[in-house]
Amino acid sequence: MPDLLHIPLNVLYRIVAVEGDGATAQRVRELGLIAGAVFRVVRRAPFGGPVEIALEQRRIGLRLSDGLKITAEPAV
Amino acid sequence: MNRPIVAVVGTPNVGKSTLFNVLTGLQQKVGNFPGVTVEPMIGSVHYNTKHTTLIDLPGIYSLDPTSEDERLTVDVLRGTHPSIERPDAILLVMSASDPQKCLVLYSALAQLGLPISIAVTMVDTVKAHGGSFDDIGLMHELGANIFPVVGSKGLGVGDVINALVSIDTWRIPSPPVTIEATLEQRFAWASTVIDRHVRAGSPDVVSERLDNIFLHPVWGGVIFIAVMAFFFQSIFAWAEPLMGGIEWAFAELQTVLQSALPDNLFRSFLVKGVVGGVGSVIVFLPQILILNLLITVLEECGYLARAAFLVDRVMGLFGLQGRSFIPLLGSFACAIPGIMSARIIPSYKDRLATIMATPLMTCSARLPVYTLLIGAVIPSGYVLGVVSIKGAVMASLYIAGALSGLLIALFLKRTLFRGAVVPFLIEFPPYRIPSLKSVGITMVGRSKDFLKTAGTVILAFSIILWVLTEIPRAEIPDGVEGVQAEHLQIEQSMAATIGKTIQPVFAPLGFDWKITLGVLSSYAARETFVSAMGQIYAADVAESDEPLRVVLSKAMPLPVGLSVLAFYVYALQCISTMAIMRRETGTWKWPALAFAITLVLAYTASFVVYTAFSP
Repeated sequence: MPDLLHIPLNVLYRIVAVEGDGATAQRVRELGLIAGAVFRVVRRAPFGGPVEIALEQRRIGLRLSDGLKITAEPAV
Repeated sequence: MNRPIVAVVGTPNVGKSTLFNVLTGLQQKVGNFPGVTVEPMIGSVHYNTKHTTLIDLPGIYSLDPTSEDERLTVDVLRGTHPSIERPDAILLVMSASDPQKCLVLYSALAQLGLPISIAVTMVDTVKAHGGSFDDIGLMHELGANIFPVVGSKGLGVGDVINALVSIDTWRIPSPPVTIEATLEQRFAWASTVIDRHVRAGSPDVVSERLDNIFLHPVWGGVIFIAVMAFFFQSIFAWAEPLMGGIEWAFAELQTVLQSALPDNLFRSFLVKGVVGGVGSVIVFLPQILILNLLITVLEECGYLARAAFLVDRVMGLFGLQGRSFIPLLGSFACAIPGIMSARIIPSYKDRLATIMATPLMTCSARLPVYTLLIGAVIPSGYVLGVVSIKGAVMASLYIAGALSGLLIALFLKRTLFRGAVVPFLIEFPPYRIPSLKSVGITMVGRSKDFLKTAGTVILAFSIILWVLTEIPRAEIPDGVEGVQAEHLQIEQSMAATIGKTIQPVFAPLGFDWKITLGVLSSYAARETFVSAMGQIYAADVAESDEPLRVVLSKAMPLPVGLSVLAFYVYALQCISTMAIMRRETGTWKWPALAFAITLVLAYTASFVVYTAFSP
């Protein structure tokens, strides 16, 4: 199952699972990144920096780390 | 009957603070950055002799806080905050252009048992983009009053005020989901509500296109560096003419007083102690204004959140995350607002590490010292024909401070604040043109703070120093008068005695007793160094009829000048900064540690610089 670091840009994907504990995983889910949500990765900052995610009308900047894993599948 | 209290609540970036301003007319900063409203603002609305108190709480997404400012909101709403009374009702601010997260928050707020009304912003934007928003349908569905408003134009505001003064008519909504509902269930509920009542307009292409430029892997970085270069360049270039004007005005004032008053102690007090001391500091008001203008504009237009995204990787090298960039950049104006804005960092350890780094960012109080000393001891001329040596030294002082601050953060993250990295997460606000009014309010506030310091702490120290230079009265031999008499007076004054007593401590750094006195007086406020030098060298200035800068250039050799500069890069000479660190961290431990670390660094750096440059 691909995670956020490995899915193509600007293709609609559906979240399968958000894993991780603590404040960031909670906030990620409160922003709507929950199982079943459809989103796209707009861009990745160079050198392993954060990714920008478009979801509903929101734009979210997020750095993935060991404590947070988001897996997704193609939405169509 | 007591006035009812209504809490204004919403997720970040829904226009909550703007609406609060419009409702109360109370002036307050409008942040375009999630979580900028750190201190709850209180205002009141009235209509037909009925009054209601409004409290503007920091934005939240749910009732599970992840940062300090969110905790405040949740504590107040639950009635568990020690100092803020529980409100009687909630005014939820919802954005029509992103209603989903707002409805999820509503589903949690509805379980508090408080009456709720909803103000909906951005309805005009949604309609302008071809969407629709059925407020009547939503009102029936939720069982709460719904008021569409256009805050900036004042539309619908009257209805909200009318409702705010009669909260006894508000209903306590029945929770749409159970209290145990998962976030997934809450989002599912929100989506069904949106499907029935909201049709989204076309997407915000402007923000998307701007992001394609500002966050481009190559151009984004180039623009970021250009913005930062412009940022620091303009602080100096734009301020120059204004500073010249202020200097001229104070010099004129001194001349006028000098010739209008008889030659006595009172004249000396007024000219040297009051006008000289305060004037030498007020000169830096333009730089402080410009710095604050730039930071406020960057924040309000939405760029600062993007900048945090861009620098997150670099901050990661120092054990910090992108959000730490905001307090650190702000600290170039002043560490106090910088430290306060560190509340947006969710992790306590990251927050502490960032706070410990802020005092090393070159704040505007260091600028007067740098400007004076660089003007005095660094030779004019150009490196490679384009970069002025003075400019290069100034830049390296900024870089040395920033880099050292980041290294301290890294060191602390590796030792005391060791822990899992809390990943960077930020919601981008839409780009918008900063409101003139709110930028103006911020600038006026900062100028007031600065002038208040200049008018109180610095004036007081200026006067103390004047007294110390005038007592005890020196024995002036017959025939010696004027400037020479003044020289004798200062050499035998109390100030000289204090400076000479402590001077041996700083002797390895090349400081003489005059500099020692200046450095000591800086522990009241850094800028005091400038006014202190002005007073200690007053006789020389009067003798040569040249500005202080020129007098200092003759009195201070290059190694000493550089040594003093190095000391100011590191030393934490600011009582207010330490007080705010104590408030934000809850203990004197951290300001004390910061004071100790920076003092050791300052002494070492000065010693190294002085030794390296001494012949």
